[in-house]
Amino acid sequence: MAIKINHLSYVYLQKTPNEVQALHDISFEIPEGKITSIVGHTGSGKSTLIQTLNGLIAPTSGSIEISDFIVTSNLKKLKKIKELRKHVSIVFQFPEYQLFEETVEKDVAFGLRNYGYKDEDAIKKAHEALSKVGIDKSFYKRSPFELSGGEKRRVAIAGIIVLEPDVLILDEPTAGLDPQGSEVILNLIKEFNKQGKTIIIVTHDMNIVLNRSDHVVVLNEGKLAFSGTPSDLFAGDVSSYSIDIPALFSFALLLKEHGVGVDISKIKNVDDLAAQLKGLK
Amino acid sequence: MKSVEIKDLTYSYNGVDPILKGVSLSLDKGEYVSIVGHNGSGKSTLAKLILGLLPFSKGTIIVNDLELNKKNLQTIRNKVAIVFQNPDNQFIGATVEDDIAFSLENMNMPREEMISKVKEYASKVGMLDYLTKEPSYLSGGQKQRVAIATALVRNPDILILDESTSMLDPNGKSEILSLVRRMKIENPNLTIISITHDIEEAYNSDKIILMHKGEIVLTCKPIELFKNRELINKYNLKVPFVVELKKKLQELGYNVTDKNTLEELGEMIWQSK
Repeated sequence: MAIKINHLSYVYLQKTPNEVQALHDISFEIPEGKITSIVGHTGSGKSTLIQTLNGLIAPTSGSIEISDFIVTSNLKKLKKIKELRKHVSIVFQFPEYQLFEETVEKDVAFGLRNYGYKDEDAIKKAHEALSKVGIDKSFYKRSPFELSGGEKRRVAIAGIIVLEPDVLILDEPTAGLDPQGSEVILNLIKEFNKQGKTIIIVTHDMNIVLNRSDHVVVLNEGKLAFSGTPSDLFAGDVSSYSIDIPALFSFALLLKEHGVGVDISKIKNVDDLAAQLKGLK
Repeated sequence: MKSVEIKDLTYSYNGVDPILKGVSLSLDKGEYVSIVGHNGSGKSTLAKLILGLLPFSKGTIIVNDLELNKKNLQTIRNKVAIVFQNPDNQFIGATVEDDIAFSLENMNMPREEMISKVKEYASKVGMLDYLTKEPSYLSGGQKQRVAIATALVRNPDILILDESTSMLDPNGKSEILSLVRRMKIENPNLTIISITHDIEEAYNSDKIILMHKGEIVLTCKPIELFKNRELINKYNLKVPFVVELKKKLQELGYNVTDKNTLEELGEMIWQSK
């Protein structure tokens, strides 16, 4: 089931002199089983939006429908909030800063214990999750603090994956990683998506939008500016948003404007472009 | 004139496994240098050593013709500023103006001059409207702009950017990069050492230093590195889009030898249709 966002607004510090409206009456749908990117300038409301998606903060007005759950301004009405958070999980920015247990496996198992799993079952599931993110057995009993940045991040992601959410939200999942480390994380995300999970990525990286996403949502000053396919976004007027059109897309657009018969909606990477040019030769 | 000279520098966090192995380099005053390499290659450790934040026992670091030792440490630190990656780890003051002023407090500056400096630099990074705001009211990008103002307000000779734009949005990022460039125009002697994964930024700097497992593999002009297929593959580096496109077009049988920009490559394609 898709995620439906209806007239969602959020105001921080409401009824105080420091009142800030982070989200203004936004409505859109996030398609099920797809990868959706959420982009927008710093302070555009992206983080606020994702926190309302699993009921971490309650909307000031409006609602969010995710399968049987309806998140509204009154979170108390939502009886199964723990269930919702299991169903929709967030990997926050720099999740590795939240590692704290003595060993890698205990850290990953921590969330499951909160849901009432027995120690041994939790550890068993933790091992499965760790193998999914490509962390070798030899790390299981080591301290998470001995790992490299990229490995720590994979352990932190395993701690979320282990809860088996249907919707996985990642806030800047590649920030601070080198190109190789980023590639590993992005391939993991693709793998989770193939297994049927709905993925939401908050990012500033327009290459992730172009190469990896099926759908993109743009927020601008707390308002919905765009919801559609990446190629429709980049082919349109983005000058008023904080968006760098990827060089590949601008180049393909330039070719099209000069009468080269490329189909810009089907170009996600340089190999796609090369294949189309080969066909035209 | 030399800005930074490093000779045979070796450093290890635990005394056993060296994170830097006999690193030597020499940077001229006013150079814009990018240091690239995978996480764990020793880039950030090198930056911390130049600032005198870590004790080292083997090798020498010379900054502004002064050898880095106990005696010169404070003099050198006054001339080297760093902006780290994570905006939350470097905000010291209670408000934006406090944070920028903090950096000036040991300099015996008259109060009026300090206030005007704080305002000048807050305005340069677009944070003038936020002077009295606490960090909890700021986004990560805004905090990072404050960190850059805090670094630059002391008028350093060397500015180290340790992946400091990696958490900013594209607007914030280009704003900061153009601010840094403007600072360089105002002060051509400002040496910039940028540790970055942003290959387009590295491509546009004066010099590029490639590090791998604690050693400097190569120091050259950016174009020289990106032309070198063997190195690119060996160190699994990302290449700027124009370089990548050129390679693909060559494989398709286009003659790309003297084509170096996207416009030239585009023209070649549409003229061949």
